[in-house]
Amino acid sequence: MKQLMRSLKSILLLFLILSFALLAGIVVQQNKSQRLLLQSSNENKAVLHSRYSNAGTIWSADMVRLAYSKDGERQYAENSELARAMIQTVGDYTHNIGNTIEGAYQDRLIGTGRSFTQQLAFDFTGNGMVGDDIILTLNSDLTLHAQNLLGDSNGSIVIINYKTGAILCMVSTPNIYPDNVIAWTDIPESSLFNRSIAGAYAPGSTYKVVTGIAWTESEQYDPNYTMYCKGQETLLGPGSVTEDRGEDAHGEINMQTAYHVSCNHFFGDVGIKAGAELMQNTAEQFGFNKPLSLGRLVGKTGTYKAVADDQYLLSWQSIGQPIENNELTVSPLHLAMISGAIANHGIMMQPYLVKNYISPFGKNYDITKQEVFSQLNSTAGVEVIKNNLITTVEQGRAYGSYIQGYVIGGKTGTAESVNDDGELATNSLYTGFIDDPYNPYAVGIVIENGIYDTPTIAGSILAKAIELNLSN
Amino acid sequence: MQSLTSYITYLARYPLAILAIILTVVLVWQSLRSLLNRFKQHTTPAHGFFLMSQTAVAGDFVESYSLFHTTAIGSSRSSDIRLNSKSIARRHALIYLHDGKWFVRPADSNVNLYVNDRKVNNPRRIKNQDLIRMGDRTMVFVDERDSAELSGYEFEGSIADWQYDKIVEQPLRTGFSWLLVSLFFLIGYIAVFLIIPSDFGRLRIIYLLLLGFFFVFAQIYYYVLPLTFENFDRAIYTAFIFIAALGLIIQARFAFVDRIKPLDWSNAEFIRYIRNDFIVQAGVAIIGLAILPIVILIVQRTRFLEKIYYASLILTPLLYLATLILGRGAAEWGASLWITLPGGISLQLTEFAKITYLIVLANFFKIRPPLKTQLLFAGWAGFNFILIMLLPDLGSMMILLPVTLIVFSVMTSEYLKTAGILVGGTLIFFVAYKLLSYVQNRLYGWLTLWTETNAYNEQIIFGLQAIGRGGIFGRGLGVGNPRSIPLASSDMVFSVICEEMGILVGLAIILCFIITWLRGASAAAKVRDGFTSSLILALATYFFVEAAVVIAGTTGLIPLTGATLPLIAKGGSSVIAKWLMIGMLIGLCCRNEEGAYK
Repeated sequence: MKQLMRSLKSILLLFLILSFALLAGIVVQQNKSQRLLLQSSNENKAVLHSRYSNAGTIWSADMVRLAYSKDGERQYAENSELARAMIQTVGDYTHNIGNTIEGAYQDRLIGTGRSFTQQLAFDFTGNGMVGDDIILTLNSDLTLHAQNLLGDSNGSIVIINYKTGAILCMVSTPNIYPDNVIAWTDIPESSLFNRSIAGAYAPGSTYKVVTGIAWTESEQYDPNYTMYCKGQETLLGPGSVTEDRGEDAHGEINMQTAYHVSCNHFFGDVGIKAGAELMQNTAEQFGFNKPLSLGRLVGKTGTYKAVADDQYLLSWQSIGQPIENNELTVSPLHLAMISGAIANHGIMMQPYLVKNYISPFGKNYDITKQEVFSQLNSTAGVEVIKNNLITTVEQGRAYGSYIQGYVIGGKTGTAESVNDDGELATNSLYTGFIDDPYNPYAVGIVIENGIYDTPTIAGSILAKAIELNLSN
Repeated sequence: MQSLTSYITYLARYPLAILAIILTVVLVWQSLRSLLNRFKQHTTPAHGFFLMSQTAVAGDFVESYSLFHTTAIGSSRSSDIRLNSKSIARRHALIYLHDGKWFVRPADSNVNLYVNDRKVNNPRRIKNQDLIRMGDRTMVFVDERDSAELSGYEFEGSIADWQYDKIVEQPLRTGFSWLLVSLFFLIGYIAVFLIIPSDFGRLRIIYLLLLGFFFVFAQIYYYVLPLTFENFDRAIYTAFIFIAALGLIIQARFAFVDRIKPLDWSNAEFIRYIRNDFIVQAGVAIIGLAILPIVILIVQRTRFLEKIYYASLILTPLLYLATLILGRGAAEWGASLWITLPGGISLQLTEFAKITYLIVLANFFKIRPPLKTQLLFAGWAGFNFILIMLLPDLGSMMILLPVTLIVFSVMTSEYLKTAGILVGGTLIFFVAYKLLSYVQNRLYGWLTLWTETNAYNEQIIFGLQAIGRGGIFGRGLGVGNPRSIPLASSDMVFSVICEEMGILVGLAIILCFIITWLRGASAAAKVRDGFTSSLILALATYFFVEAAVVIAGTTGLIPLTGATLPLIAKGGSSVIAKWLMIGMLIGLCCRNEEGAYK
C-alpha cells in the first residue's frame, strides 16, 4: 500500500505536468495558427465564399474599393484593370494566391482578429459580427499608371514614401483578373507571383549604390581618388571585372563620372579596396539578409554574401553581378528602399501596406506605426552618393528619369540571369528617388528579358506621383 | 445586421465560455485538494481484518498489523508491514483482497512462506485463525466478523478503527458547479434553438423534447443517485454531464444549422434525414444516461466485473478479429472499424473491446503479479495490439498503451520495468514507422504542419485555422465554418468547439477529464481491493488519455488523428461504450468497505 501511494503520487506529478503542457500547448498552437495558418492551399472554396460573404472592404489610400462584399458575394475593384494590377497584393477570397491582404488579414476582415476589449465593445453595440475595413497605402491611380507602363512585359514597379515607409504603388506583371483566379482558369505562367516583394534579381549596376557607400566608409577612401578604366580588358586578369557591354575604355575616372557612365572597372576596383568584410557590413546596413515583413505579409529583402578570399569574384559582386554560385539578389521593393535610404539621410524606413483599419463604428483605428527598418552608419558618405546619383540623372545614364523642376537621383542597372525558360536573359533595373520633402518618393523597377528604358519609366511614374500630390 | 435571434446566440458565447471555465476550474481545485488530503491521511486499513504476531517463546499475541487491500510484507522500508529479521526477505509476501476473499502469496519465488505449516507457492486463500509463517515470524490472520460470530457476538467495530483515525471524508461541494453546468446547458440549449431554421418546423419540437428530456433526467440523477448509492461521486458525474451536454449542443448545431440539401433530394427526404441523424445522436446520449444507474448498481452491488474476467480475456481479441474480418470504412475513414448489422445498423465493436481490455488489465495487475504473470499479460496484450495495428487503428494503440503502462507502473511500482516498456514501445513505433507507410505519411504531415499543406496534414491545418479563428470566446454557435474541416462532427469536433465557443470551452473540456482522473486516483487509493483500485485507475486514466491524445492530435501537438473525443464526437457505439465506462467508474468509486466484501 505504501508503494501504491508512492506510485500514485509520482503519477500525479507526471499527470499534472502533462496536463499543464497540454493546456499550454493548445494555447500556443492557437496563437501560432493565428499567425501562420490564416490561409493555406486546398481550403474548401464554398466555405471560403460563405466566410467572406460579409467581410469588410479593402480600400486603396485614395478610397477606391479594391475588395468588398455585396449581397453575399465577394467582389473586387470595379475597374477591372485596377483589380488586375492589385491582384497579387489584394488577393482573392479563395486563397489561390498566397501572401495577400485577403488571406493574411482574413480575421480582421471577418471580424475575429481584434483585441478582447475592442470585440466586447462591438459585440454589445450590435456590431460584433461585422468585419473591419482595411485601408491600404496603395494609390489606385499610381497603380494603374504603373500597370500601363509595364504593359505586356514581365516586371515590377514599386514606389515608397521613404520618409514613412508607406508603399504607394506595387505592381507586378504578368498579372491576372480576379475572376480567373477564383475560377482557376487561364492562368498565365508566373502571374500569381508577386515579383515586387518576392522577386530575387541580380541587381546589376544598381548595386553600385551600396558599393559606393562601402567605399566612402573604407580607410582607403579618398574623395579625389581616380583610377584608369581599361574598358574591355579585365581589371585584375582573366576572371575579374571587365566592361562587358562592348564599351570603350573610360580612361582616368573618378567616382562621380563612374556613376554617370556606370563604370565597372571603377566600382570593381573600389569594392576590392573596401574589402569583403566592409562590403558585407554595408550590405547588411542596407537591409540585405534581413527578414522583411509588411505587416502580416512576408516580403523579401536582397541577399548578399561577400566573397572573402577571391578578389576576382568580389570585383564582380561589387558591380552587382554575381557569378558562379555567389549570392547577390534584390527585390524591386528593396531597390526602392535602398535609394529611399540614400534620400532619407541613411535611414531606411520599415515598409508597410496597411495604413489603418476602419471599425464597424466607422472610426479609424489600429493605425500602423512608422518604424525604422535599418540605418546606415555613414551620413557623410550618404550625402556623397546622393549627390552622385542626382548628377547621374542630370548628366549621366539615368537622364531619362529627369523631371523639370525637381531634384531626382537614380541609378540604372542591367544584369544577366536565367529566365523562366531556362535561357540567359538580361533584366533592366532602376533605383531612384525625388529629393523633395513634399514628394519623398523612391522607386524600384525591374523589367525582365531585355534592355528597357527604365529611367524614362521611372521618370514617368515619379511624375505621376508628384501630380497626384500623395503627401496630402 | 443579422436577425436578433442569431445575435442573441452569438452573444451567448460569452456566458457559455465563462460558465465552462469557472465550473471546471472550481471542480479541478476541489478534486486536487481532496486527492492531496487523501495522500496526507494515507489510507484506511481494512476494517475487521488484521494480522497478529506471535512471539516464539511464550506464545502470546503481542502485536497487531493492519491490512490494506494489497499489503506488502518484508524487511524493506517500503513494506506496509516491516519485519526486521534476517530470515525475512526485503519483499517477502503479499496479502491481498480479491472478490471479497483474502489471499496470500510469496512476493518472490525464493522465499519461504507457510500457511498452517503448508508451503505456499501460489496464491492461497486465508481464513480466520490461519497461521502464516515466514522466516522466524508467525502471524495469525484475524477476521473479526468471523471471530465475533463464533463467539456469539455481533461485530461492532474493529481494532483497526482504534489504531487509525477513520478518514473523515470531505465530500466535494459540487452544488455551485452543478448550478453552472445546468446554466451552461440551458443557455446552449436555447442558443441552438434560436438558430434552428424556422422551416424545419417539427424538428424544433423534437429538439426541445429530446434535449429537455436529457436535462430533466440529468437533474433527477444528480439529486436522487446519491441517495441510492453511498459514496456516489458527484464531481465525476458533474464533469461528464457537462461533457455530454456540450456534445449534445454541438451535435444539434451540426444537425440543424448550415445544412445543405442535396440537389436530388426532396424537402421531405432532407428533413427526414436530419431528423433521424439527430434522433440517433440525442438518443444514444439519453440511452447512455438511462442505463447509468443500472450499470452503477451492477458494478457496486455485484461481482459482475470480476466474473467476466475470463470472458473478457477471450472476447477482447475476438472483437478485434471480427472487426478485422468484417470491418468496413477504410476508404472513408482510414481504418476498417465499422461492422454493418442486418437492418443497416453500424457498430464499432472495438469500442467495447476497449472495455474488456481494461477489465483484463485490471485483473492482471490487481496485485503485484510475478514476472511469469506479467509475461503472460504481455503476450495477450501484444496479440491484441498486433490486431489493432492491422485494422489499422493507431489511435486506439496510442490510448491503450499509455493506460497499460500507467496501471502497470502504479500497481506494481516496478519503475525500471516501466522504463523498459517505454523504451520497447518507442522501438515498436520506430519499427512501425519503418514498415508502415501510413505511419510515415502521418509523421511527414505533422513535421510539415507549419510549412506546407499536404494530404497528410490538411485536416489538422484546417482544424487549427478554425481554432485560430475562434480566439478566446469563439465566433458564436452557428457562425463558424465546420464544413471547412473534414470529419468536423467526429474526429475534429474539438476544433469546431474552439471556433464557435472559444478556446476557454476547449480548455474546460480538458479540465473535465483532469477532474475525472483526480477523482479516480482518489478513489483508487481509497478502495480496498486491488481489482477495484486497478480498474478505477485504468478507467480514469483511459478517459484522460483518450481526450488528451485526441485533443493533442487535432491541435497538431502530436502526429495523430483518428480517435474521437468521448461523449462529444458524433457516434453511436462509442457514446454507448463511454456511458458504460462512466457507469463502471462511478460504480467502482461507490464500492464501500461493506460492498466490496460481501
